[in-house]
Amino acid sequence: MFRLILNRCKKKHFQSFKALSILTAPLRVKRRSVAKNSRRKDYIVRNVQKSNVRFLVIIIFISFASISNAQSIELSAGFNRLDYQAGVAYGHRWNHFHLTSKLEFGVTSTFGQGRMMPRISVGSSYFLLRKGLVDFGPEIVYAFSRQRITFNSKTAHNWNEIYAGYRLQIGRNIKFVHSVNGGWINESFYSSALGKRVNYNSLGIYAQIGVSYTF
Amino acid sequence: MRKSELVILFSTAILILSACGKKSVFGHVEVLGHGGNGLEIVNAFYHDNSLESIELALLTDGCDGVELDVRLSADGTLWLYHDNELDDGTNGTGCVETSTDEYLSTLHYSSVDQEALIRLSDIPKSYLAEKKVYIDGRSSISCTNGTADMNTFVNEMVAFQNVCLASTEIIVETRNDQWEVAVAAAGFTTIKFITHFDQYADVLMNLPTVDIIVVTNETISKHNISQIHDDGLEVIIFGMRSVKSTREAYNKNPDGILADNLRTAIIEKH
Repeated sequence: MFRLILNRCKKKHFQSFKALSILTAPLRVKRRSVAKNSRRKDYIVRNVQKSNVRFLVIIIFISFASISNAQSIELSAGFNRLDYQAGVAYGHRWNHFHLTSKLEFGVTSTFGQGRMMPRISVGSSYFLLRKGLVDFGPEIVYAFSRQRITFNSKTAHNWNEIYAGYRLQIGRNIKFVHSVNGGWINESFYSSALGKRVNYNSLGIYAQIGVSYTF
Repeated sequence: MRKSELVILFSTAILILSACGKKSVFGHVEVLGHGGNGLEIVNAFYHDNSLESIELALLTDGCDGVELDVRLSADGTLWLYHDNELDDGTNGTGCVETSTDEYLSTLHYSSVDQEALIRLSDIPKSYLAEKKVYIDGRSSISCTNGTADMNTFVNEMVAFQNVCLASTEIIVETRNDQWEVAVAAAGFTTIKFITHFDQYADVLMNLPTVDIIVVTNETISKHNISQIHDDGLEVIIFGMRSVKSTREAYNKNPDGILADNLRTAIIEKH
């Protein structure tokens, strides 16, 4: 059947036949040793796997971006019981639901004392009120920060914070952002004196203001 | 990338790198936590003179000791409390000196964590190993305008020293000259608080037993401290809350600092 079609094409459309013959003709394979062929096969498989992973990441990113109503980049300044914080956040929004991931640095420690104090946080808020330019709703946040106190990085202090509060956004594309959160703060570090990790818990607060650009 | 963006990126990188490169080493200066992990400062998780605050300070790497405010109860026991009256910072009323141990053991601070009031003997002795304990002995009783019993205070201090490990160094400050002499006679290293350097000459003349001078950062210069060192005495500075004032204090070359912001003080030292 396929040959019949090919013959017809051969007669009527010589140019098309040329194109089809390229597609149907067996691939010319260079003569290589078995080992070389096997290596080449592995190389191709690895590359295909790599490209699959890349493809998957791109698909996830595009799907996230396409199903979200908006994405945003945010510059913020705030404070908690440890330090003043300044950083940048990336946000996604699906209707009333807003998800943020943020990287901040303790200002006094990092710039005033030359001792890095990074703080990574993720937060989600649900805007109960969406009226005109105003978005307002409850927010929950988890944050982790770390700082080396002495030269010994083994005894660096870690802080975990879990907060609940509110988030307010005012604006269209460029928004004024404000949030206040309160909750639990935990300080943990390795004590050289006791030879074990110790934990101290207290209540904490985090307040911030910022500017976000929605796109 | 535009030229202006490159300039901003480059200057930010330089700023971060220069911040990372700063190192201030004042290895000889001892860092003592004021009231444990700091006095009336938001960075301190717990109320001053509470067990939690003292433990947190003593276990922090780089902390050389703690300063504690000590008062005698009506039963003659040493309790840790900074303010004059219990109404000022706890759920109790009256003064430590007029209250029994039974009553004091029911009290807690009016702070978010509501830490309990503790006796000096409640501090785990193992935490004090190789640490300095700066005792601020409060002699005056504001509720009665009287003075606590000096002999009981000294005896209690000696008893505390006897249960501490040999590596724990106890130094004692009192605002009462009579107490100061008695504490020195009991074999303790003694500290005298002066509000200004002008008072230093009087201390030298009237209290020759004093080993350490304690003074606020604002009222003393590097030159004054070097004068005190020339007389063979040590100097401890307090009253620093910011990075700037802590750095200033270190640069004056004292023998120790009472840090309210303990983390800042330790980082600045290392």
